[in-house]
Amino acid sequence: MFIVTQKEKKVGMLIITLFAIAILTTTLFSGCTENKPAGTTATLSLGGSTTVQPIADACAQAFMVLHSNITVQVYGGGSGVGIKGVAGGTYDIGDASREAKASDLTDIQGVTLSDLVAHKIALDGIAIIVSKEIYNAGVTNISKTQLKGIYNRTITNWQTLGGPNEAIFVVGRDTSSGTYTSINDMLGLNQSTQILDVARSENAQVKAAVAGQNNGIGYVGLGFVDANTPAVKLNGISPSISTVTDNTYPLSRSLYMYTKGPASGVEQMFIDFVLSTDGQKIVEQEEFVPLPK
Amino acid sequence: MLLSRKIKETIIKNIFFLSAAFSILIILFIFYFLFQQAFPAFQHSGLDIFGTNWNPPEGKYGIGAAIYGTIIVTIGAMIIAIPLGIAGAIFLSELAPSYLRTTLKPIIELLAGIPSIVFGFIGIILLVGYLHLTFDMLSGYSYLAGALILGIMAVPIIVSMSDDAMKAVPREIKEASLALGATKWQTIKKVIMPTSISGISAAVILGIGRAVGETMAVSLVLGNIMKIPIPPWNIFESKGTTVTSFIVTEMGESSGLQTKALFASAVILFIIVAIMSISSNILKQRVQKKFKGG
Repeated sequence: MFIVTQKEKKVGMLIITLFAIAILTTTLFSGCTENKPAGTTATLSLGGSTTVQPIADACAQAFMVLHSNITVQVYGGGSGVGIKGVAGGTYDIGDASREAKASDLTDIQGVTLSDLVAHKIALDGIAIIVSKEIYNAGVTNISKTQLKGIYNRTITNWQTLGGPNEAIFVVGRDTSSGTYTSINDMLGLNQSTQILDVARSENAQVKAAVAGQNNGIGYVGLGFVDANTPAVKLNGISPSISTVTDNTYPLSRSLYMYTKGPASGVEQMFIDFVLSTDGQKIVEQEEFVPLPK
Repeated sequence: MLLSRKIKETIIKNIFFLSAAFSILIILFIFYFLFQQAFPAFQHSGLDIFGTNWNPPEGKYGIGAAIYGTIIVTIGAMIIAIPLGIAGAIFLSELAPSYLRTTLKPIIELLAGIPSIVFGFIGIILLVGYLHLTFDMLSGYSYLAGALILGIMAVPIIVSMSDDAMKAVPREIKEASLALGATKWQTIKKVIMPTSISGISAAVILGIGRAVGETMAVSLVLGNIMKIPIPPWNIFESKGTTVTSFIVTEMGESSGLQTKALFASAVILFIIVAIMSISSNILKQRVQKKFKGG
């Protein structure tokens, strides 16, 4: 009797093991295949600015949950690619972190700037924070040119900016971050000219790195400024939702989705979703500034 | 009765076989998944992936600087951990009075169980600031900080495992040495160390393994910039990263080929660790042979 129960136990274990293997195998393999929902009736493709891409990606995920019959595909490439793509018909919606220019359309036959419709979907504003010691020593306002000089290492000492004789400790974000790309765009830098001492993968970590030193500077989303890491004014303007919204703050800009002609059908549905409360919540989650209501 | 016993045995055998097969299966899945994800990056970059030019917007995915960082941080950690670890083990197993040993051993083992994020947190709060002020560094973030944290993390593993290896040396051998008039130090140096060397090297290799694979603690105290410092042995410079640290920093928002390139760095890490563990096995066998013969 005893042996039988033992055996039953073992058989039970065997079954459980087999089950686990089966589950693991199926989940792993299903993970490898592209999961296109069955019965897709419409597809929508977006492409362009890598700054807008995280918003577009997250919104596409949420949108496809709401509308299982629509497949949304998001591509990167940069604002220029997005504007060209929507004008030339490669994408239904072109993402851009700046306004379209006539020069974007020189290669495209028969499309003029007036054929493109801009949909403002979010605001992008970045605060420049410094260590408390630096702020208290009198560096409370710097110019955009000086900021560029700090990040490309033509300015390396706080003395140049009226601060103490301390080397500048430059903190930034990892190269895959949207904020990293934004700073490059806004200051006219690129991957090889934005020279950081330390790269962090979160706003909060940038803040901690700057707060932990007495000589640091870093860039974070507007919500991460506090007394430990005061924000400096840029060209005399302090960063806030209102200065970002009216575009007076130098490190602010609007993010756009472009359509060729007025948005229609699925395009309209998607843009409406991005502009909805849920969509703007995603904008905030992705560390951008939602549009004022 | 006999039959049921046989059945029972077969079932147990099969269960053990399945458990073994299960772990092999998982390894194979990980292997397959990593390579499948990394392949496009290898295809795109070829051997440039070992270069030092990391510039995703221009399609350059060289992770050489991270591989270099992993090597330098690991070497630094071992310079700290090996002497401390082995000396600690000698003290624990041979010199410490028994009351000290019985209190110290559990404490050291507890230290080995502290999660790495805690070490990283201590590193970022205390060590980085301390280095910044003490060595007049631009910031405390550096290979030095990474090596210190990893070295401290590896010490308890090396102490605990080496101590076990030394304790396993048969009492008779030790007593014979002492009876021949050898001093305590001579006995440790000529008898205990050589006899337990395979266990000690296993401990060291496990320590190195932890240093190479450690992620959170180092990512917090390194600069995570894909650059080799100038000059390359400048361990005070904050520019620099390790393979693991770079993966965890960049993975969050990466997409497309950049993600694939991160998977490619994981593949390279996988290969480094595999080579290390295979060579450690070969080394261990060689050492064992040598001492069996002599």
